[in-house]
Amino acid sequence: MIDVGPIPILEATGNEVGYPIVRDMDVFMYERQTAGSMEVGSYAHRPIFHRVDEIPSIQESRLSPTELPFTAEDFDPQLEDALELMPDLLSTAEIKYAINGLLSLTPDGFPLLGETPEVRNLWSAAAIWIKEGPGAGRLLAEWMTRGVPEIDPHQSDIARFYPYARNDHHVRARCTEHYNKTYGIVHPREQWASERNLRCAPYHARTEALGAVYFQAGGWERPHWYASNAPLVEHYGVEDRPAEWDARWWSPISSAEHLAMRERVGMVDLAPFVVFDISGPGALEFLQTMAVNNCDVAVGRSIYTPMLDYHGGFRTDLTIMRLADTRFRVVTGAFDGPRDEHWLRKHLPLDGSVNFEDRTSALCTIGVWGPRARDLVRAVTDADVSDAAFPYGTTQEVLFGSIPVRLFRISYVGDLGWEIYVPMESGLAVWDALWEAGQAHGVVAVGAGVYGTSGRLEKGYRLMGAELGGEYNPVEAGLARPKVKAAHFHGKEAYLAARDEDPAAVLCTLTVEDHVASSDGVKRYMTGSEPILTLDGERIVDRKGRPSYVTSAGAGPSVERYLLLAYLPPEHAVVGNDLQVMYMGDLFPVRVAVAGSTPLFDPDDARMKS
Amino acid sequence: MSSTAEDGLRILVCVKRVPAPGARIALTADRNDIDTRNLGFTTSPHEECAVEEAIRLVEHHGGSSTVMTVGPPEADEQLRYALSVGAGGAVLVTTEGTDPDAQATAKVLVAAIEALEADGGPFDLILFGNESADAGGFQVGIRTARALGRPVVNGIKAIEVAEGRVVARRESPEGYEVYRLDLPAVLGVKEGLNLPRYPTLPGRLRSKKADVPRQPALVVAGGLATLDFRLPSEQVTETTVLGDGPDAAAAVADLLQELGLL
Amino acid sequence: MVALIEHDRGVAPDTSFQALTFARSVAEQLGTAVEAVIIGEEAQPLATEAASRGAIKTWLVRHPELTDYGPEAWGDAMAQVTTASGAAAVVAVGTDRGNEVLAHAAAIDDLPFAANVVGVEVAAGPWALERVRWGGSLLERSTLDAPVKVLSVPPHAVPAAEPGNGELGTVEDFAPELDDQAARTRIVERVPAAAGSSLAGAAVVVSGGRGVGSAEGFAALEELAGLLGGAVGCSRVVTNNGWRPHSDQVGQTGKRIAPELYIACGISGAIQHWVGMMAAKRVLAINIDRDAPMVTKADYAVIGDLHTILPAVVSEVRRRKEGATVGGDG
Repeated sequence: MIDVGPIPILEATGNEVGYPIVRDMDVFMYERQTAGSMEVGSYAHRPIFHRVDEIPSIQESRLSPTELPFTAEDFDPQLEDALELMPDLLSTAEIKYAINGLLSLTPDGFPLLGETPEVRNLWSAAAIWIKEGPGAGRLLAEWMTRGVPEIDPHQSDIARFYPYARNDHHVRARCTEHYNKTYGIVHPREQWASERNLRCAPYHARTEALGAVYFQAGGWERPHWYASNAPLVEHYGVEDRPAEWDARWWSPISSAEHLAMRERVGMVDLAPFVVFDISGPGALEFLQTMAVNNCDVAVGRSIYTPMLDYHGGFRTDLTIMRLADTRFRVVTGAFDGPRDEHWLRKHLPLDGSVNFEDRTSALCTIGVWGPRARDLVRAVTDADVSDAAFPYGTTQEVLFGSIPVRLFRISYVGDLGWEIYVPMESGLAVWDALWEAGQAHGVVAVGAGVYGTSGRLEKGYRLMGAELGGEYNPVEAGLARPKVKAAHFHGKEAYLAARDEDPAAVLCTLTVEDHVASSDGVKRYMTGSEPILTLDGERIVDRKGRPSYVTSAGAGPSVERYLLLAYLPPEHAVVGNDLQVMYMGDLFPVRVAVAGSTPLFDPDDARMKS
Repeated sequence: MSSTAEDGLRILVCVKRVPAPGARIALTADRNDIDTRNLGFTTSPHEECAVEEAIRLVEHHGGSSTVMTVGPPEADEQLRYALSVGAGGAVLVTTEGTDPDAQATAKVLVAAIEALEADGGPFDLILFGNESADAGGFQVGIRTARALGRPVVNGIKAIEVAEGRVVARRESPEGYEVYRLDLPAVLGVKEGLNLPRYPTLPGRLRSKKADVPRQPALVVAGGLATLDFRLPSEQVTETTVLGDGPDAAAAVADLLQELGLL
Repeated sequence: MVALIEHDRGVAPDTSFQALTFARSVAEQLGTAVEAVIIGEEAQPLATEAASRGAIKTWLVRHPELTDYGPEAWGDAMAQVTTASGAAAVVAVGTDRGNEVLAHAAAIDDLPFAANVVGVEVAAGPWALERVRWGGSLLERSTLDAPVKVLSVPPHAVPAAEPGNGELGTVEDFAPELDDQAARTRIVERVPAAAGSSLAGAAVVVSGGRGVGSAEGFAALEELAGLLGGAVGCSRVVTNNGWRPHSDQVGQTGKRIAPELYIACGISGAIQHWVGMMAAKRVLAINIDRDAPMVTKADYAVIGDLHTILPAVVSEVRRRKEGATVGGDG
């Protein structure tokens, strides 16, 4: 970074900052007023790493430990870019100060805030850049004093990292990759190039042979779609996306897999599932205090439940199976595993009455869903998997040949089927058995594009980190049950209060009514985070001050609509209401298709309960 | 003011690349050198003023300024800095390994200057810093001038050139001493001679593209050889914090009275 | 062993006889005596004084070209008298002139010259030296290999030699051979300084650094210095920014001062600055950063923004002074 001055027009402001900062994304630079001069900074050069133990002391620093010696050779190529942007301001002023500013980098570029998972009551406020300082300070202060910050902190939570990400090697590799993206234009679905193949399912070679295109989930390589399914695109007549940006990190194959699953049966690699077995005499009581919904169900039954923070916002949502009187299996998503583990462990009773086991690396999960899923499972087990013997929402341990597996009849995609929990060492054998038996039933390998997006959105299922977070409550998310259990649980008071008031927002499913951009006539497909506007183009903000925006976006191949989820104030959350979404500067008409949690596809859940 | 010669002044400035330390110098594990891993390098402060003076003299009288250093290849950075603020040309005489001592440095410079003068004619003025910030030898300019047979005065804080002469002033306890030297001459200058300018962006771009010729130094070691370094024992001071912010004013006034200063 | 006794037309700075002390410490190792060298006119009384302070012989070097100081002529003279004395070593105090004369003398005979030496171990071969770098922040151990050792000692590194027990050394005139070239760098004029900064002798120095932020920011420092009868100083970044003249600069390339109290406002405390004020009796640091090196090395500190602290101190000092004038109890 260099400081160029004096510049009369800046001096004339009499302010430290009188003009907006300019971010020149094309050349990875910024220009920012600092009193009478212009600070010019670049993120275009190589990352220059300093290990924490190599940072000079205050005494040994020329200026300060964060103002390291300027390496002109890294910066000089940018000088012409700066001059081109601001020739009049920058051509005569002098470079009076030049440093390499020291920044704290983390593997994902976000700060390290919150209570450390390793040591109770040890809080972290690290990797905070100057501009984030005040906000981070406030957030942490709220977190420490109220137990919950006003803004959901999951992206910055220090507890968010798996062990593979908590070491110098990983930090260095990822920071090398993302440093230049600081001012880069990064696609929302963009995948990392470094640190891949760290966690692979035991049948990884099989999915690879099928041409899996892997996205990383919790460090796991998870097939997002399979190139070998390309012929299905033509078969189902799936349209491609004409805009390169919309088509990036996406494939029409994904929608074709979706349709094939709905028609036949799909096998889904769910190895990244995070699995905690919680057992012991205090297990039920513990889970009752953590979960909104009643966990005291019959052995072999399951509970889908939010867990709330102390103020009634979402802390997580997950599925719990009761394996035995005093033994429960908690399954959560790959992205929130470490945070959920921290939250659960933090509240474990200290009397030893509850055992907590992380079984994630011991078990892999394969999902089979589709109208022919029962045929497929029947082909590999002697167990009775009829609806009468194995109703929806229940779990049983059965044998696939000689391999013990746990079947869990549940669905995140809206079709008949099971999650199959398999000892990691038997994963390959089970995959092969299912795949072989599946050939007679038209089995298709289905990627996470279906599991996490298209299948989920057609069913209106909520995702932690997208629809669910600390800023919304179960009533608004449409996840409130008719009754509230008697037992105490975290966030109960707030939850009860939320049930008594009219919700400030309702989570809705919207359909895009016309994809053609008015600016250039090209069909466009939103990626998420876009603002929802009224027909007059006004922002929509609920009475708690929360603006409406797209929380999830994706295809609904079976409903033949592109689907958006968004929280809307009640007056807008009316089925048939016409609104707009702004994407890449164009406005597109959208219509409220569902207000609340009723699925758009198969609203009665007949398919998955068949 | 009229310039000395029709072609203006031909000026050479000899500079040294030195580290820019903070409040404590860190040494390498073997104590043979300053640990510069986290330090930047700069032109020794007196010589920054020498470069500035040469640029000003040429701006005023016409002519040319050339900057030369004897140092590691990295000293290219300091030469380009001089070019970025307006020096006309630069020559890098490269050494390898540890710094040559002052005797050796002067001999390398003399050979290089004689070569430059054989090509381009004599320099009217050769400027040195009074002493380098790091080695503090106080002699390279004097040795060079002696070898070239030219008059030299150190400690100069004001320079005027007129009619083939340079009038140079140096500080004394009472004020200034004035020296008058016929050109060609050599001066060792001190910071305060002028306020050096900083580079502009176009200046930096120019310097980046400039040709900085390099030639290897033929070093004949002098009689002073560095073995290693140590830090002087530091007096540990117990700092008494009188207070925070303006509320500490009374405590400061108390201190001033206690010390008999108020 | 010869020691240069520096003077200006008969007036010796307070460092002059430190050369004898340093020379004696080396001479004792060599088992030899110290001889003094005094160059120029009006120096007879100094020759007598040198003799009384332990110089066994004083070389009084005179020549028509040596009427006033000139580095080349003095260097020539020094080289010649050193040769004439047969000394194994020649020393001076590392003042502007001391270092300059020795550099010339060394250059003439192509001898190495070690400036600012604080420790000497003589030996049959090369001597082991310790000398200061970075204005005193770093010590260099080195070897000096030369037929005649040329050394300077930093000013005030040793005390001046005291008058001895009455045994007087001899004084010997020495007339060097100098051609008219030698006078080409002689002082031709002296310009007395306009009464200005009394930084060097001030009992209190209020000094500002980067934290002051601007030239205007020094008004508060001026005011406090004025109230205390002190002077304003500054760090190098301040002069580089053009906020203060270089004559106010304290440090390695500025002034070296030793006030009763040094008030460092917004100065981080890099070595280049520290070496200029480390002789201060006491240091008060005013700094926003509790961990700034200047704060950790200071005797006293006030933590906070100097722009609010200084006005408060000024008004408190003013109140107490006015109170005292009115006869209050302070």
